[in-house]
Amino acid sequence: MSGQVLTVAGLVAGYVPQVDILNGVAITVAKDEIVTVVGPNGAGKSTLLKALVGLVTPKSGRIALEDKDIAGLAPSTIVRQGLGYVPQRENVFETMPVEENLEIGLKPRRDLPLRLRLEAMYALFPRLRERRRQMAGSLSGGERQMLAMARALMPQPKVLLLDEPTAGLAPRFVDLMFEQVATINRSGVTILMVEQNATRALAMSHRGYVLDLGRNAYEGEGPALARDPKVADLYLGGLHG
Amino acid sequence: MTDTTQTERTEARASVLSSALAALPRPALLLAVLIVLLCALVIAFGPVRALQATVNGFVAGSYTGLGAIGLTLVLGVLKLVNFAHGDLLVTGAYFTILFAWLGLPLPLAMLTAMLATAALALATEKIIWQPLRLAKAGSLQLFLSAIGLGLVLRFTVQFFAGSQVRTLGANVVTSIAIGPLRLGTLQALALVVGISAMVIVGLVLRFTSIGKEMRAFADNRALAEVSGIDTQHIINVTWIASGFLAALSGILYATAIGSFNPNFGITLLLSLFAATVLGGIGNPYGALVGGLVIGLSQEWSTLLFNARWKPAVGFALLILMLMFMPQGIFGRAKRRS
Amino acid sequence: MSCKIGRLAAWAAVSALAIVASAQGAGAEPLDLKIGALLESTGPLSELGPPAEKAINLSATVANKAAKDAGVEAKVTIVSADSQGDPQAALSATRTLVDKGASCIMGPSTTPESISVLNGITMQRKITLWPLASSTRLRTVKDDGTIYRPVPADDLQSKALVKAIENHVGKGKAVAIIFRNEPYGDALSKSFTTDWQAEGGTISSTISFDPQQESFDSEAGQAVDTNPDAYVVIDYPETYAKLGAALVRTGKFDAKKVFVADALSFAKVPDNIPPEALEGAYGVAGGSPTGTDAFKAFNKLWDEAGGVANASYTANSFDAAILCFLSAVEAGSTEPGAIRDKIRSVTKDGAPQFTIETLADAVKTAATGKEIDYVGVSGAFRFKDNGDPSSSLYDVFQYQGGKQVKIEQVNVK
Repeated sequence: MSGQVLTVAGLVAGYVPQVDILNGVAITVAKDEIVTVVGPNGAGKSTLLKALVGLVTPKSGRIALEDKDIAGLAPSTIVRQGLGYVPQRENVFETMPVEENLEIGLKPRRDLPLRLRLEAMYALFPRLRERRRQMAGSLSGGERQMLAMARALMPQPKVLLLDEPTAGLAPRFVDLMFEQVATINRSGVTILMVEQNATRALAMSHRGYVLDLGRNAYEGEGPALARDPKVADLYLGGLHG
Repeated sequence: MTDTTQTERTEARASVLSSALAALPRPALLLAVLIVLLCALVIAFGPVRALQATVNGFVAGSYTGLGAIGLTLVLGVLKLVNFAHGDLLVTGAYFTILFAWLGLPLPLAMLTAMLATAALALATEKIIWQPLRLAKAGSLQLFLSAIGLGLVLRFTVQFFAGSQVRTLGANVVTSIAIGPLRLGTLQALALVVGISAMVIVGLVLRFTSIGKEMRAFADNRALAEVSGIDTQHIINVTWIASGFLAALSGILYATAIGSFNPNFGITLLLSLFAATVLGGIGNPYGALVGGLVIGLSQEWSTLLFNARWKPAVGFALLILMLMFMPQGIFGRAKRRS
Repeated sequence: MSCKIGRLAAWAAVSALAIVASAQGAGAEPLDLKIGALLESTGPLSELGPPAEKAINLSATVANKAAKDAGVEAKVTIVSADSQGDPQAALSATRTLVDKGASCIMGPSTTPESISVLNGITMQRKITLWPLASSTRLRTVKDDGTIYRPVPADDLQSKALVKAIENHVGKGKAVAIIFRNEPYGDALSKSFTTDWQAEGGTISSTISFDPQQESFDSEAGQAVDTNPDAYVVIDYPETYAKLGAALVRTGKFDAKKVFVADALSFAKVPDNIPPEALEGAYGVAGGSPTGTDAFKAFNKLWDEAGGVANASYTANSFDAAILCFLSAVEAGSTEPGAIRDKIRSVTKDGAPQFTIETLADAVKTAATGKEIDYVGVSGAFRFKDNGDPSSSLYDVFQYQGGKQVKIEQVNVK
C-alpha cells in the first residue's frame, strides 16, 4: 500500500468497558488527500479521531502512520510521530497569548526553527499575526478555529485531523473555513476531517467514508458520495449546507 | 461584511475589552485601595504607628505568601486541593532538624531538606496521586486522600521527632532599624526570599519552555497532551517544585518564627488557602500578593481593634474580596464554554 | 422452694462476711491504689509535664514506704498519660487512665482541659480531679464535689502580682498587660486590672492576642509604645517564645520590667525562649512555706531522686497525690466516690497533724478510720466548699542568668 500515510483497520474502541463506540472501522488516507468522515450523530466520528490520536485507547485493531504502528501509544508520543489533531471544542489555550499557543504547538518538533514556523503560520493566517499578543480566550469563534489549526500545523504533521472545524461557526465563516482547509491541503498537508456539514465537506474532499453505528457503511470519491442518493437519504438528510 | 461578521467583531471587541478590564485594573484597583487606606491610617494614627503596622503586615504576609506559592502551583496545574501542603512545610522544617542532627552544617542541612521534601512530594505522586488518577478518582476522593496524606505526614514527623516545641536555634531577636521603624533581621530575610521566590517562579512560568508547558497543561490538559507535551513530566516537575517551595517556606518560617511543633502546618494551611484563592489560583504573584493583603489587613486592624480579632479580620476580608472579585486579584475570569 | 432458701442462705453468708470484713477495718484488705497522672508532656505547656511527673512519682515512693513502715497493706501505683495541653486530648488521655483503674486524677494544668475532663468522665464516675489550673472559672462549674484544687486561684495570683510590682517597681505606676486570649489570660488580666487600679495604679494598655498567630510584632509594638513602668505577661512558654522575640525586636523593651504569671515559671528558661526576653524578669507562682521541715525533706527527696530540676507547683502535685492516698486508706477502699468523701477527713482542722516526715503515723491513724490533718509540703489544706484552697502563699522570683531565683514570698488574701 504505497502512498498510504494513515491506515486504520478493524479498529474497536470505546470510553467504558462493555460499550464499544467503534466496531471495526477501516480507513486509509493517502498522501496529499482530503478524506472526510461523515455519519449521523453517535456514529463514532469524533471517537475515531480521539482513538487515532491516543486520547481513547483502542481495544483492538491496527493504526499505522506510514509504517509505524501507533495504536495504544500516549498522545504526546503519537503527536511526535507526525499526527496533528484539532479538537472540536476547547482547542486553544485560552489563558495564553496567540503566539504562545503556536509555540506550544511546536513541542513535538523541537528541531524546527520557531521563527520560521511562526512566519509560515502568519502567512497562512494573516489574522493571527494581528492578534499575536492577544489572549486566545478573547478571540472570536473563527479566529479561534484558525489558531487551533495553526497550532496543530506548527510541527508540520504528516496528517492533520480536524474534528468538525465548522461546528458553531456563522455561515459566512463556514465558507471561509472550508477555503482555509483547501488552502492548507494545497500547501502539502494531508487531511482527515470529520464533519457534520456533510454535503459541503464531501464535495471538497478527494474521498469520503460514511460511518454508522461504529462501522463503515459507504465509501467512495468525495463528490460522488455527496451525490449518491442512498447516502443522502440515509445519512445526509436535511444537511444541504 | 455582513451583519453576522459585524456581530462577531463586536463580540470580539467586547470580549477584548472585558478581558482587559478583568485582567488589568484589579491589581491596580487593589493597589489604589491599599494606598488610600495607608494614607487614612497615617493621618489617623501618625506615620510611625501606621508604617510599623505596614512593615509587620508585609512580614506576616510573606510567611503565608511564600507558603502559598507551592500550593497554588499544585492547585492551578494539577487541579488538586492539596490539604497535605501545610504538612510538607512541616516536613521541610523537620528534615532540616534531622540533617543538622546527622551533622550537616545548618545551611547545607536546609538545602538537603528542600531536596528531600521535593523527593517526598514526587514520591507522593508516584505512590498516591498517579494511581488515583489512573483509577479515575473524583475530586472528593482526591481531596480526602490529601487530608489523609497530611495526617500521615504529620504523625510520622510526630512519631520520630515528638510533638514538643523545637527551634532551629537562629537568633530571632536582632532587628534592623529604619528610622523609627523596626524589622527583624530574619523577618527581612523571609520577606526577601518570599519576593525572590515569587519573582523566580513567575519568570520561570512566563519565559521558560517548562513554564509555558505547565501553563498550557493547567489551561487545558487534553489539548496539552495532543500538542505533544509529556504530561507526566509536567506533573512530576510540578510536584518537585511544590515540594521544594514548601520546604523552603517551612524552613524559613521555622527559622524566622523561632519555635515550632509538628502542628504548625495545619495551623497555617487555612491562611495558605486564603492567600491562594485571594490571589487567583495558579498565579505565583497572586499567592504572594494574596498573602500580603491578608497580612496587611490583619496588622492594620490591630490599630483599630484589639489584636485578638486579627484572624477574624483576615477572613472577613477574604469573604468580602471573593464577593466582589471571585477570580481573585490575578485570576482570569473563566470564559463561556 | 429449697432452691430459694439456699439462695437466701448464701446471701446471708455473704453479708455476714462483708460485715465482719468492714468491722476488722481497712487494714485487713490490701489496697491497690492507682493514681492517674494527667500530664502536659507535649504541646504548648510541655515544660510543665516532666517536673509534675517526677513529683507524683515521688509521692508514690513516699506513700509506699509509709504504708510499709505503718504495717498497712496498701500499694500506690502511678499511671500516666499525655494531655497535650488540649481539651480533647486530655479527655481521651483521662479515659485511658480510668481504664487502667485510676481512682484519682492529678492534673491537668489548664482550665479548658479540666472542664473537658470533668464533664467528659470524672464527675460522673465520682473521680476526684486535682487540677493545677488556676482560673477562677473552675470555681463555678458544677463538679459534684469532685474538684480539689491544690493551687490557689488566679484572683489570689493577681493580688500577688500587684504586691510584687509594688515591691520592685513601686505603687501607682503604669502597667501594660499582655495576655493570651483564653480563659487563663482573660480572667487573670481582668482581676489584675481591678486589683491594680484599686491600689491606685494605672493600666497603660491591655493587649490580648490569638495564640494561633505566627507573628506578634504589632502586639509587641503596641505594648512598648505606651512606655509603661512594668509589663504583666500572662502567657504560655510556646507563644512567649514568639511574643518575647517580638518584644525584644522592638528595641524599646526592657525585660527587667516584666512580671510573668505562673505559667511562665520554670526552673530554667527553656531553649526556645530568647534569653533576652526573660533575663531579669520577675514572676510569681504559688509557693510553699520554705522554713518547714516538710519543705526541706521534700527538697532533699527531689535532689536525691535526680532528673529534672524543681519547679513551681511540684509540691502541690506531690501533696495532692498524698491526699488521694491518705483518703483511700481512710476509706479503706480504692473506690473513687469513697475517696472523694474522705478528703475532708484527712485535712481536718483540729485533728492530729502529720507531715511528709510522719507519714507512716498518718497512715496508721487513717487506717483506723480516725480523722487526721495532713499538712503538706505546700502548707496546710483548708478546702473551701468549692474545693479551692485557702492557701495563699506566693513566691516572687526573678530570672537571673537564665535560672529562676526566689526573692521573697508574699501572703495574699
